[in-house]
Amino acid sequence: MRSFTGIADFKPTDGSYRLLPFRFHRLDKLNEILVNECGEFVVAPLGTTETIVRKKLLPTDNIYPTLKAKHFIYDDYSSALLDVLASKYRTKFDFIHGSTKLHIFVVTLRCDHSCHYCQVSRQTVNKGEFDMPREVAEAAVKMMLETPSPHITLELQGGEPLLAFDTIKYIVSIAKPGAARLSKELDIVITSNLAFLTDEILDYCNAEEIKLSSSLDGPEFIHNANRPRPGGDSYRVAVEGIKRARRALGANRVAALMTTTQLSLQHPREIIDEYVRQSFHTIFLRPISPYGFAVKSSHRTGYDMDAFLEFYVTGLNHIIDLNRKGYSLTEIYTKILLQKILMPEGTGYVDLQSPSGAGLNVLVYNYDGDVYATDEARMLAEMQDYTFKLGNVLKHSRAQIFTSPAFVNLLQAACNQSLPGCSDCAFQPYCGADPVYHHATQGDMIGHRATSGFCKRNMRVIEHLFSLLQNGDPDTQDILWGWVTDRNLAEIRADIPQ
Amino acid sequence: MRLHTAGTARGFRKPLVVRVTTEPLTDIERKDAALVLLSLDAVPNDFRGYAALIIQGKVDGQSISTPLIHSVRDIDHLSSGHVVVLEPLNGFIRTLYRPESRHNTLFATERCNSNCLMCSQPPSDKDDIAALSERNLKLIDLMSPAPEYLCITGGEPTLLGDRLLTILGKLRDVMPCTYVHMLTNGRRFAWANFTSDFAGVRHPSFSVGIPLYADHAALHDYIVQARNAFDQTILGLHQLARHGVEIEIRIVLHALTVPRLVHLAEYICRNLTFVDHVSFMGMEHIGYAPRNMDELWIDPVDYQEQLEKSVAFLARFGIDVRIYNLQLCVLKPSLWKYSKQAISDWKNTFTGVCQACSVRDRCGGFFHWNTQAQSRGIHAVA
Amino acid sequence: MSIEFECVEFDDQRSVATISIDKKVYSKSAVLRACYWFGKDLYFHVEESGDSLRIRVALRVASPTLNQPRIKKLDEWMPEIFDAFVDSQLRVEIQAETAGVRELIIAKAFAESGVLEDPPPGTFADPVTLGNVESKRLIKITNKQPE
Repeated sequence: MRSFTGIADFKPTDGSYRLLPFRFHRLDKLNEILVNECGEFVVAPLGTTETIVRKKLLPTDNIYPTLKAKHFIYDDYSSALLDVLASKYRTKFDFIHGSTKLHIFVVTLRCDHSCHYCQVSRQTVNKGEFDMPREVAEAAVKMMLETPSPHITLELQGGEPLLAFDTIKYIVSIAKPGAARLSKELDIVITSNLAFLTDEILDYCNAEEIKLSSSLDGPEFIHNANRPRPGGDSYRVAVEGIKRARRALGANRVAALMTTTQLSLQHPREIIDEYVRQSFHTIFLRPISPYGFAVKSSHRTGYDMDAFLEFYVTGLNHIIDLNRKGYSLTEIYTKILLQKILMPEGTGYVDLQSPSGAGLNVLVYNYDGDVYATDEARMLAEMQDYTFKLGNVLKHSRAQIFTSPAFVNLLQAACNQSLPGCSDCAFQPYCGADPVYHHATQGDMIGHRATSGFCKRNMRVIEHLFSLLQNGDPDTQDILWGWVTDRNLAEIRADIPQ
Repeated sequence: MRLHTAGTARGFRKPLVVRVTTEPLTDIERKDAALVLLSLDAVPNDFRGYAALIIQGKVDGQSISTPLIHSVRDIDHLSSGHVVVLEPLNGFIRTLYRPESRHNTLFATERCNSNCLMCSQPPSDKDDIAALSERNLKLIDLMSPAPEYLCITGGEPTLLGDRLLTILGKLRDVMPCTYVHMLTNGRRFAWANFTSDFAGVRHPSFSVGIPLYADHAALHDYIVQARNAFDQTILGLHQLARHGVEIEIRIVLHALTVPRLVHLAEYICRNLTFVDHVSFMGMEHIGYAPRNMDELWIDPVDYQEQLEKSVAFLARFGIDVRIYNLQLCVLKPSLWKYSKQAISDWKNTFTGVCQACSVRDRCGGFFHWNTQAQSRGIHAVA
Repeated sequence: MSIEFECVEFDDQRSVATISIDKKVYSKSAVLRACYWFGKDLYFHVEESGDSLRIRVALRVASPTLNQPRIKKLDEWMPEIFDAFVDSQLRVEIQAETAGVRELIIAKAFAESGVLEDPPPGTFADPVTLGNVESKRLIKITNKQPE
């Protein structure tokens, strides 16, 4: 029989330990949060970081093994398992793999609506010269298919893209076989206000497996106020369109997004209840982008971030409550952030990527062939700011697009790991870089963190989510974990001990 | 359930792996078969061609060249189709395979590179690998019908090195529909070449069960009594994941693992997100466990809170959780749905108090050697 | 907070404060990074003065406006500013200690499979392989690892 070795042999040689990279942040009056390079976190009493850094921690402290397990410190007893850490880091950045996955085609600038926050310089309905010509469409599809990713999304936008239905048909007719030849999976989405949704168009979308993404800003009085059109009936048209689209394509092929305005901020519950009334199961509480007509009409849309945050917190509470009562509704921005906090993957959502998704993950092909790093970048061009115009499909190759001075410049501000403020921030792994936003709002791609709306919003939302994760009641935790793992409350309850 | 008996061996020098028959066989069927007899006087007395004879009665001076074991203590447990090994030196007859059992194992070696404080099958430092591998290869040929499920166990099977690959390859070829589960500490899989070769065998229906007892090295290594074990196991798990091997993590519940159980659940969700199942196991009071009981003992009713929290963490994350070796009366009812009846049929019994229990049919019962150190929570559920 | 500041001096209108801190304790980099985060509400001017750093702080908006009806007074900012200096110094120290290993982790993350991976620690050998089988009856496992 062998003999046994006592626990004294399974300890570091002395009390010393070394640090692995991490950042920290004061959460509230009692606690701070420590976050490692891969987004793993520990919530601990204020002063813990100081104890750790001053090397005052003892192997017998309760938190010591937790800090080892979560890759905050290591000692000479065992390996720091850097390869495991590297593996987790790589998983977080897997979204870079394959380059640009979202390709937005602005098929026309024509539109019947005059939404206050519109990011497109819309042209009136009849001006055909603002449609994408075939030559441009071909070149753009060719460039799109050169992307290495085996899975791409083609998003058809405008103006109102259904006003250029023939152009859409043409693009789809060359994109689909092109993708098939390269064994690429192609998802196609049309973002539309649904005002021109004929049965012919619905049949076409059904046959070609195209999804529809529409706008629903809330109940009628908010939706119509935000989105004027001749006749003032944008809400009726949208709701009708959603019903017909669901009948033709199935509910899982029809989505809705809301845009927030000054008016919206006063009515979070009503907006959410409207989404329930229309049987949607996802909603995206996002702030307005400060571009395009939004800047011109800022007195209607401008608001400071504090007001948005109040809207968001109230809205999220209401949404969680609805889930608690049995209606499955996921808030998308929350889900994206929680996935970054709790799950091993990064995100495919452009605005929260670092390196920034501008260009790397999304490209916008304007009706005239100009290529932009994001749709916001295209908005800036409407105001004669071409900072993020990368080239033109008729004149440049994909290689030239990605080596253009505009893109190279953008890259310098694309990684929050090296941006002032962000480089010190505990929430860096959960957040992203948005050079286009900062250029538009602060005149500088790098941005000034202390006054950045992007920073304020993300930091406050992330802090709020941590308070829910730490202190939320069990139902709230179950609901949030359900969002992140694609289960509704009933389904997740069936899986956990009850 | 008898799996072992003995007698006096005669006529052979190396262990014989044979398939039992209680009825005489035709000539062509006799190869690899061992006929069970009450005595050599049985009729008909044509024994040519059999690989061996297993005789209850005594055999004196009769001249018979067929290998045999006589004066066997018990033969009632032997039925046709069983595969047994006959030992020449001590006359042991060990049952290796029973077609009617759902829990057949392939025993790889008694050697082990760990020495877990609660090991239910304590290792032995004799080099049995060559002999056992030869035995197992023969066993694979003789298992008929092929079992639905086979467990490779030990000791530590990966110490077999290339021989393990051979055995796995043979299982793949001879019985590809048999689901093979291998219990291993996973340490050797940290060596990428070995794992690559191992996965290269491409067994179509295979998984590993690897124990993990803590979220940090010092505690896990202490429990398994081997320095570097934790690091190797984690690295091994990652290598296995790269090759798409199905993985079960096993956690034995005792006083050393319970305090950080929830932390371990979180560790798995952060570092081992690819695992297919996590199994929590009640501790078996056999092997080393009784020796180390003052360090290991905790009444299962006293760790139900931590167990529930850990299960909840894993289940929320989306990992499949199972609980084994704990009776339903000591488990919190919220955890019953994870409880699997897997105490092998040659192990489980029920105590007197179980007669009145309403959920006996769903419960795994006890190991028959668990007469001491029972939970104070054992009771009949209404 | 384990470190005391030497002193904070206010001007007569209490609209500008001058903080003196020990350069041996707080690096300039830490101080500047801390000041950065207050840029929305406060101005900073940082000077070296012998063994100290002299930091002049002033409010950007000294009188109430419609947008900001309530102005936080300069001395109300002090605890936050001191906390920020301490935190920032810790961050600088963490970054200094971990810069190398961070680069290594990232290099490993983006290296090709196997190229930058470390061999496993220790050995998987058991006593039989190690030749540690002292006797058939009493075997002791040691922490020895073979070369």
